[in-house]
Amino acid sequence: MATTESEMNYEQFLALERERYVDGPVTKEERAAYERELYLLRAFPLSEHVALNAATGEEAKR
Amino acid sequence: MIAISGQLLTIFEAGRLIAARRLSPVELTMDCLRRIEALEPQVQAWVTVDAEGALRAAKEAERLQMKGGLLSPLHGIPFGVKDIICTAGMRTSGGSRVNGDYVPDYDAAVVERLKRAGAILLGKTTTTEYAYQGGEPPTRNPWRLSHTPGGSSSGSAAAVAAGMALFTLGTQTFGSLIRPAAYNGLTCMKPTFGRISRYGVFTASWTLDHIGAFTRTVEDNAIVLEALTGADDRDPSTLTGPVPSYTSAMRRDIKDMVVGLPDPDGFFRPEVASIGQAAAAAEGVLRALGVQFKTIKLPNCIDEAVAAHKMTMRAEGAAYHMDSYREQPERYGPAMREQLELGLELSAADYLRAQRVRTVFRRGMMELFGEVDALLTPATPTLPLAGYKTGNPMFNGPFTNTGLPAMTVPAGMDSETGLPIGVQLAGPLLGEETLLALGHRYQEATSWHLRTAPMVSESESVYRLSESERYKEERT
Repeated sequence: MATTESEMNYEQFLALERERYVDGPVTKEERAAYERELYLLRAFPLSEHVALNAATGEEAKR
Repeated sequence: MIAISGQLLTIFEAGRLIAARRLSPVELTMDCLRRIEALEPQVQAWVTVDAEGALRAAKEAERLQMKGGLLSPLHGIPFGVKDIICTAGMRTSGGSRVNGDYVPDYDAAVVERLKRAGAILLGKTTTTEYAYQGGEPPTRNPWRLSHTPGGSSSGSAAAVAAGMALFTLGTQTFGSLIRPAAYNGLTCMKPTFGRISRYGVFTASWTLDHIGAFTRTVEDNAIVLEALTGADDRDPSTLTGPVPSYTSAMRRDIKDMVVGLPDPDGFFRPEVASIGQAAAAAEGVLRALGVQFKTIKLPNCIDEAVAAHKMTMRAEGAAYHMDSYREQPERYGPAMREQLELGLELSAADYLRAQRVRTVFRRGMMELFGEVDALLTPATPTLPLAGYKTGNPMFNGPFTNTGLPAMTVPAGMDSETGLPIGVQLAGPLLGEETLLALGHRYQEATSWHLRTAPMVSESESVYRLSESERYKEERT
């Protein structure tokens, strides 16, 4: 149980954080961000020559 | 920590005094422990403090010191490590309830290296849950206790800022080294991906995780980096080849180096005027030292790169935690759980697309370093926030995403809040030496890195070396 003001503040913060998830494990805001990011990635034009994690990135130049 | 004329000793200064047998590792360790005892109730930087083990190691370091057997410049120097880094016989909780009582029977490679160098392990520092976003610890910023020290390496940054350790280790998967360092008035390098072995460190994201050290000065950072760097066949991502002499490299001439400045109204636009002013002032200092500046244009896929970064963290985090999460989801904190859920949802095809976007972005960033030796940006978009949220890592993401080295140095104070401000220097692949040289010369010309949080100056130090013992005299 919180005894100091600092402990009470922290517990209040944790309680507010938990409250954000009462409707499920993914909040509406984070779901929207995820969808937006997915859209950005899928809409980005990628040459068929671009591979993953190529350290020199030579493929990306083609 | 021992103070000289009101200033805390740096690693370099303490190392010289230890080498000269004017300072005992036991005295230095006891001073750190006393400061922890005095300030920890307010700062809350530590999960575990092993006073007994630290004093035992310090006594052994002292024994070797008296025989003239110093192991390295870190001999007898007390340090702490983030609680996702495994320590033999010492609980490694990951800041989580999932396996919070885990006691490893081995040391992470970085801890092994530091112990071998004679450094003294004080204990483990707080972290957000598994170094992810959310699951914030109660740790406070020593400069202003109502504010966050940043994260995820919250305790590591706060401990050094509070003078509880001469250095600490942290990790960065987005902005968890550079951001807390800037928020606490510290110096920190996130080296090139693969420079430092991650063996024995809990994974947040295999392709994004980096280890670095929080120190007061660039000189100290070079010393620690030199001890940590090198190939390790237990971490296949580590780079082979010789370890550079960072302590020599930082003394390089920086005259005529060319530093790139991104559009100040673009991606790196700070939200607080004093941060922009500090970055402009840092530019002025470097110009006066002979550095040239050139405006550069960042790759135009930066928004997609940020999206790819976040998707990579979600997917790789979900893959790492998959078994444990399926068995006991309720033991994860809600913010981490949210990211794991989204990571489990992401298709393999989309994950791979994110990696291809990262390839394009990295290529663009690497091309920039054909034009300039380094980049200069603000380290953070905001000052440390009031409360517990650890702040925005966005300015650090591009260099974590691409694996390119980045470093922060203290560059100002916000006059209204008394909170520190940092700037960020970023470099090409394996370009740590250039960053160290720029940072070191900058610190020779400025004194921001010498400032300490008011609570530290006000706290008692057991040993206050006399004026005649000032290290600066020794240095001449």
